[in-house]
Amino acid sequence: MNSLRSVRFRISVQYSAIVFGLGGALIGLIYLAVLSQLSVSPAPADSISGRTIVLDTGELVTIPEMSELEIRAVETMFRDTVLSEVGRYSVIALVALFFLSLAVGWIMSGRVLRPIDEITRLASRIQAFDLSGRIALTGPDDELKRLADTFDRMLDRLDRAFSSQRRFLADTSHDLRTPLTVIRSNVELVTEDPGATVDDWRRAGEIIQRNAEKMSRMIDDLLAAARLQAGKAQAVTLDLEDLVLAKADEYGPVAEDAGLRLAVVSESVTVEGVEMSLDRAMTNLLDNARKVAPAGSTITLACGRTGNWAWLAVADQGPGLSDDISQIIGLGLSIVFGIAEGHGGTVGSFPNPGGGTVMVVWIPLVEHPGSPPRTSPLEASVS
Amino acid sequence: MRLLVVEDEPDLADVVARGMRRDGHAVDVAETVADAELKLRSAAYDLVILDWNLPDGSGLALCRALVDGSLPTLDGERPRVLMLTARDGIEDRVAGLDSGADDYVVKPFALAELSARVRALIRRDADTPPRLRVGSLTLDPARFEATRDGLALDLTSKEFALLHYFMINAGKVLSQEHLLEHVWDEMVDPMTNVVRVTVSNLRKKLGEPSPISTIPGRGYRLEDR
Repeated sequence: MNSLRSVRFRISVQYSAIVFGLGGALIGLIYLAVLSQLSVSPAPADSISGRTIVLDTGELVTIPEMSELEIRAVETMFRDTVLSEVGRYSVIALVALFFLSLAVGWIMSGRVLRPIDEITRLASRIQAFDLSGRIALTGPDDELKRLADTFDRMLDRLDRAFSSQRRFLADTSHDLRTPLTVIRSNVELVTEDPGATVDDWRRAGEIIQRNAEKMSRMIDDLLAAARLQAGKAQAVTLDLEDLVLAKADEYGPVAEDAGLRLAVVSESVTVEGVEMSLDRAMTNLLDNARKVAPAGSTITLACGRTGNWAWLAVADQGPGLSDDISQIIGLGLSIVFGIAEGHGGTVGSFPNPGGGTVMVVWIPLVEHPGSPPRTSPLEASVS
Repeated sequence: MRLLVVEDEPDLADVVARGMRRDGHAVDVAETVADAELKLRSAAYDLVILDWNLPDGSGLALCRALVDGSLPTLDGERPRVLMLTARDGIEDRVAGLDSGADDYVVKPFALAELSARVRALIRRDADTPPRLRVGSLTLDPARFEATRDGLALDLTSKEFALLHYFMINAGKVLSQEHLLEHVWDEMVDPMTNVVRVTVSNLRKKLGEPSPISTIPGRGYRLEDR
């Protein structure tokens, strides 16, 4: 039976055994004390004969002359009666004690374990695919409340991790679908057109190749993101300014080819970070900026510190974000989010004073940095 | 029909535009919300194929603006909106349709399906059957077939598109400017006499008596008898 294996059953049995054992030992001790008191050698006949005793009723009685044998007979009879009565009561007391201790043990353990049952009941309602439920145990701030609160905090962390995973998956499938559609539609257009020329086929082939390469780059990005999540331990102390300057050297020509200018605003700031990841975050932000930046405009790459936070920022002079960034997030930005979160930080977006958007990766410099600033770090550092 | 494809991925915009042109539509492409707004204000589109995620904002917001009239179009007519997006969640589809989109196609899609849905939307707009019939003329946009008195007509894709537009608007007087707006894309020179030339070629191919009459100073009309 299930209840035989329950903690409640075991606690009540243990409790009962201890109470019963102690009670039994006490009763045994009393019995032995009585026994030893009654087994002393009989009093000499002359010390008893002729003595006057006051009875319970107040009468005075003088003990008559008795032989030693007679005294021993009376004492033996008296002792046997007392011992058998004490023994009888002891057995009754032991039996009663046995049941009483079991009952008390069962009730007490039930009271102690009730909040645990409550936690079990609430926890079983929380589903793997919906982590929004919480135990939220009420009552005094005791061990069990702390257990429930710890459980709730673990659920918070799981919930966050799962939602970011879901978001990442959704973004990934979104981004893979566009090149897939392009490939599919191009195949459809040329195969269904009986008048398609060699040039039409060649053009379709080129587009398909370009989009297949795009997809394979996305898959590389995905693998990089997965590796990043697997190996967070390689963080080292590094200066963001070094990364920014190296990136600017590498990306300057790319920006120039696209008819854009790349400006750098940097100061030395030391963080604990993974160089490869931060480099990728900058690349993705720069790529996004390049896509929206109007020809001849300037993209700014910057780093610095504000309060407890170090930051990396990329500003463009594009049309700006008219919506919540989570609405237009793509795989590239999703990876930036992942990298920021991997560093214990977050990503923010601000309107660029000169039009466009400033994307910021915040990296905490201390253990408990609080929330990151609500203003663009770029404005602060420029002014 | 005049279509606007709003899609930020150039390869996708290109292939959708080519597919729609193959079907005889006049197609313009916009890559951003700003560009799309500009084009919607300056041309008369019959249908907008709209991506949800655009670099400078959301296609959904653009769709809402078109539907509630806060984004005025050139001729005051609201174009049909077909959302084209990779968001395939139920909530997304509901949000898309509830914001006023007339149809919702999820990527990756087949071009054939997109064509069929565009035809269906145009049909719904004009309240016409899949195979159009006006007098002795019939036209099947899906098969790219047109006949007069049961005899197949050999039309170029522009002539076909023009006849299609006339048949949807049979009995109405259509000005040259109106035809230019709805049957040609933005690449055409507005000063050109391309409408006159195409109408004249179409008339020749349709034969006598010509079902298309010229209303002096006003435009053309396809007689619906």
